[in-house]
Amino acid sequence: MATDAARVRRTPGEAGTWVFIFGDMTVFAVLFATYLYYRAEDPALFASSQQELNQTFGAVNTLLLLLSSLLVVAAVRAVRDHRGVAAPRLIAGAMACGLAFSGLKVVEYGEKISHDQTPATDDFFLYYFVLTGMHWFHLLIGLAVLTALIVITRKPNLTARQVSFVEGGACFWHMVDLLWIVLFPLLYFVR
Amino acid sequence: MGRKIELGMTWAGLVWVILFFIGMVPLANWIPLPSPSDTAAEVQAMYVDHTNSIRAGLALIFTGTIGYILFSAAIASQCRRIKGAPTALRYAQVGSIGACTLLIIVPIIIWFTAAYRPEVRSAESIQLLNDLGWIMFIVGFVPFVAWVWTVGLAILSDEDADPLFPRWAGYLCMLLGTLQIPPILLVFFQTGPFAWNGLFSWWIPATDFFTFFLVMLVLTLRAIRRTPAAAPEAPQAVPELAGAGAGTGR
Repeated sequence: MATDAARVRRTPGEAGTWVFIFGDMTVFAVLFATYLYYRAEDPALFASSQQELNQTFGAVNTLLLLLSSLLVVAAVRAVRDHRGVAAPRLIAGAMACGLAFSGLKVVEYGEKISHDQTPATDDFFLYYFVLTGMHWFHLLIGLAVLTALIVITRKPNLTARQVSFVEGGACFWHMVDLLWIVLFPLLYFVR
Repeated sequence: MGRKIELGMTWAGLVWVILFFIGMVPLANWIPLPSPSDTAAEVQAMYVDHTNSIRAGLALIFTGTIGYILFSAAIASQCRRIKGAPTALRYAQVGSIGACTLLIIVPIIIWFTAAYRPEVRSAESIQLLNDLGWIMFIVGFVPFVAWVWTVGLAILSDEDADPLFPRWAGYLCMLLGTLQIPPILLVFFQTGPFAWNGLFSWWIPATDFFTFFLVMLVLTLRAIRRTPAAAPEAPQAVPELAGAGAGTGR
């Protein structure tokens, strides 16, 4: 009975984690609004520069992040069900997706720069690099967090605080995914 | 007596914040910030027309920075009391506090120089000093991030069931430290939200910095008042717990 009641009221991770996540998302929301504001100033330029983006990169990266989030969800389930061995492997899978995302990002940036499309080209490419760069920075922090989660979930018995750290770290990874899901249409598709 | 001094050092942080606002807003009239896209002649005119109010405003902030040092030392001192907080975090705090202080006072000295004899110098040299001051002041986030993050990590490392600082404050510090990093973009821009007077280089990091200050002011005052004050309220516990009480008091 007690566990049922707890389940209804529970927030995943520590309450403090959400201070970080919501604060960070608020700043990203301001960043998205800034992008849309400058876009509205010069819609023709933004629309024409947007044509230069390769949507395949964006789409593959979206799939990679969605898959990684799914793996993280499975890992958290494994921790909760005390299936200790599965969790680190699932998290390693999520990290592999994150690394593949990073690899594609390097190729995509390289391709843009080799075509002389840099942050100095125009406002669209400025925001393209700033937004995707800030997101990528978060993804790299996320990879560090996932590494910590692998170390923790390898232990046979987790304390309550460790379980909530695992949940909090998982939520951070989902935030990285969620931000990309907003960013992707905003940069690649919004007309 | 030691506790009173620590409380006073914490309040000195508020004195610094107040002097900062008086110096920046009514005196130097630098909020909103001078724009990096101003021409050399415009920058010179600002220093020539408001020489003494700029000097006076900066002098207040400069002197008030003593309060900044005391305040940050008071936080570091409380971090020592956190059960399980590694010593390395406190070393990082103490080291970065020194660097932070310099990154506040050195730009002010550069602005003092710009406001020293602006009418006889060339407009370009005034602009150079003005640029140098602002760029150093705003992009100098490196020790500030290290400071705020290590305060956050110290709070999060608390092993006590009833932590000295609330855990949410630890996560808040991690966020507030991270939000100081975007100003790195200011080196690329003279206009827009990433320029030194823009949303992401000035307004968000500045709000963020003063939020850290006010939150840590309240929480540090609370932490200082906590353990030692509890002992006299329970005199009946003194005989058997005298040894333990003396231990926690130190």
